[in-house]
Amino acid sequence: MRNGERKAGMGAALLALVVVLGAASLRAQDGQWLMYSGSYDSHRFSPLKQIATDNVAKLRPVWVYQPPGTGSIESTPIVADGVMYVTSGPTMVAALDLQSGKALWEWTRPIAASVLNLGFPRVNRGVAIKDGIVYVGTLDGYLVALDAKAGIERWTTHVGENPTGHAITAAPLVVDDKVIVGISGGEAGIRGFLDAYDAKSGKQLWRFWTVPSPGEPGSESWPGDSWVHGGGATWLTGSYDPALRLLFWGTGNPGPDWNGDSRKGDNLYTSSLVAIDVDSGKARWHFQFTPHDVHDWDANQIPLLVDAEVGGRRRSLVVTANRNGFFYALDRRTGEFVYGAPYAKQTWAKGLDDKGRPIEIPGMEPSAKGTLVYPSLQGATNWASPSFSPATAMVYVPVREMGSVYYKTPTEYRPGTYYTGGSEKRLDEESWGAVRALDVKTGRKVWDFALPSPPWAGVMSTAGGLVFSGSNEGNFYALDAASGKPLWQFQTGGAIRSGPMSFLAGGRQHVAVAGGHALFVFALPE
Amino acid sequence: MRRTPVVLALIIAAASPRAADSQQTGATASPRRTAAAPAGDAAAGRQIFDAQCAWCHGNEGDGGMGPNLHGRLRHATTLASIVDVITSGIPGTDMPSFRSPLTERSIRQAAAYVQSLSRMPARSARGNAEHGMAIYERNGCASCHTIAGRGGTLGPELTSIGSRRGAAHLREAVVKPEATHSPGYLVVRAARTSGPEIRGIRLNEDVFWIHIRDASGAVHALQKSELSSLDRELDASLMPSYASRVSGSDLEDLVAYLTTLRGDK
Repeated sequence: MRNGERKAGMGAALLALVVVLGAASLRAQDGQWLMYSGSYDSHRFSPLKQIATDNVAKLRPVWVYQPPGTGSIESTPIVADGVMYVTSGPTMVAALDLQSGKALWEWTRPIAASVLNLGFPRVNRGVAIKDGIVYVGTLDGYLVALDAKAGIERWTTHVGENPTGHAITAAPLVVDDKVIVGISGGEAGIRGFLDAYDAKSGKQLWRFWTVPSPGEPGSESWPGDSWVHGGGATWLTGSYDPALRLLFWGTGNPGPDWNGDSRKGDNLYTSSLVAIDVDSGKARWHFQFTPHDVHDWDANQIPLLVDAEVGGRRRSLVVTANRNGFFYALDRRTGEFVYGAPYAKQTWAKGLDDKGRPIEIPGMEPSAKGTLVYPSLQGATNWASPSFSPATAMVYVPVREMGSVYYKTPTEYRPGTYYTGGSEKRLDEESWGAVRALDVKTGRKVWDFALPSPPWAGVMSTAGGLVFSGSNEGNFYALDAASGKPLWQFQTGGAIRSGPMSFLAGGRQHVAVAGGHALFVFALPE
Repeated sequence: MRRTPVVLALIIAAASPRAADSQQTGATASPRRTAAAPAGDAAAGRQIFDAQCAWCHGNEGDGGMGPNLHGRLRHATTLASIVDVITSGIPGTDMPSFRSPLTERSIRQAAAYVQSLSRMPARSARGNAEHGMAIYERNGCASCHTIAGRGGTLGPELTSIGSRRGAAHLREAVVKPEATHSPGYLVVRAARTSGPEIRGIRLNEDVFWIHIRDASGAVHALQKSELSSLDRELDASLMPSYASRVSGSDLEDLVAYLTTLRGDK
């Protein structure tokens, strides 16, 4: 975990890092990228600064890797011990030489056409690594440990039943000797959970159910047996605070998505952020952004762990731009609401009350005739990663400005089929997108970089004063982190639906991003 | 520069079925019921059709942006071939692959419902197609549109328009062309810091470049950094409305003619 945001300077941060976090995190400062979001705080911030505002215009592609198969690559590569590990759909991992881009090994799990992916593409978003083992979730619901040098399976553990819609697309997160992995299936009526497995054996250590069973705290928010198919998937990688030993994990929509008649109540802990003790698997606190969600506004967006002065007081925060159109800052020790404000067009709430609960506008629910609401069901942002730069104290959010007409239909649960209770018609032509810089102290917009369409690309900021991101139209670009001014771009020829990352190879800083079905790696001329 | 976001909406929508990003998104389109009352796989398929297919093929499968599915299908005649079309899409048309958003079972169910639609009698257009062809020629439609290799290129080719669009959609395209948003024909207006303003059809756009074909057919490749403004005209079409020139039975005859245009495409 990087420490720049916690201390006045990077030097002090590095010193604290040695004491608190140990050697594994130190390597990240040496030009590696050891986990999906780059660090436990999920800042997706690279401390590398060879590529900077004054030379980024010279950035050039140095190699391109095209994995077997087809489809968009939605993976963020990781780099550890001089090797890059990148994934492709449905479930494929490649280990690449950093200098040449050539594969050292490729591992593919056979995924039959009958394997279910209800509500999401047949993709994989990345791996985790620890002590020479690479961990990957599979579309058919397993967690697999691979030897990092050879790509040979060490163990395989069953996580969720695919015939009922369980699948894994998210990158796992390794904490100490535990592999934490989330589950997809929120459109299939699964009951969501977050699991921890022993990194050496694959044995399950704990399971946290995101929907409580009768008698447990929160169960009063589910009438009858509606909790059984209550949703709350955990389909994106969360964050971790080593000092608090807390995981921060977003949860998805309740089921059925757009018809809430059978589940009147708040439907805890769906569309929420949950702080989970990494040792016990028990929730310490939760914060629900959208009580009784009927717009499919998953709260799986990656939470950023940030220390900042708010209202004259130094706060340990977790901040997140939610799919519902509001940006939130919470106290990450207690879950207390610190502030919240809209960061994109939204038409469903007058605002937030002093506890952060939305003050809803009546009549915004999906209906048989259709109800126009902003944001669309893809949300004002989605799984594409945000970034936080300790250098600018800004949060950079990939923003989707789009509305939808939401429809509500009758539904009943049938295993292995959609359990959604409605649909949407998006206002595509009126939609647009942006990379939006927000002041972390207030959530207010500092600058906007407009895009022709709502993006699916993640954002990375760097110590070189840059923000990297991509567009559906294939542009990979660098902005001035302070002003949002574009400084460089490269047309990859395919939609960018992945998160950028940065690493050192041969002493030179490189930047990588997937566009279409290819991974592009860039560096300055030697 | 005033930056007006513009979207390749229809192109993107055609290339990526909406539910493909539903973990992320979800299903789409109108949920209204159809007139058919199918059973078994077809009954389950109707729900899928409403969510995934009706926004193109019409709520009752009788056509819209996409073709009418009543009567003999152009690209598939058996259940297996309908499954193939839904699974893989139809190259060269707006019909996308649903391999990603739908399971094999869901595709089979949707195909069963589509097959039940195809067994319903096709409603023939009300007008006189032969007279409609005369209306087409008299109004100079061929100056902008091509049929079977003959005609202009400013507007969409119509050689197989009858197999790709429903009658209601075609009628609206004649009287209110700006409302039908033919894919790839968005009107944009770009003002340069120097030189005349350019108005025309957006051929392509990314974050930094836009390509525009003007009414004379000239293509302009423009860097956005050199524009002082860029506006998309969502309510505009380079095609004028023919409501005052073609109406009543003439309009029905023209629509009937267009629905007969089912050449290979």
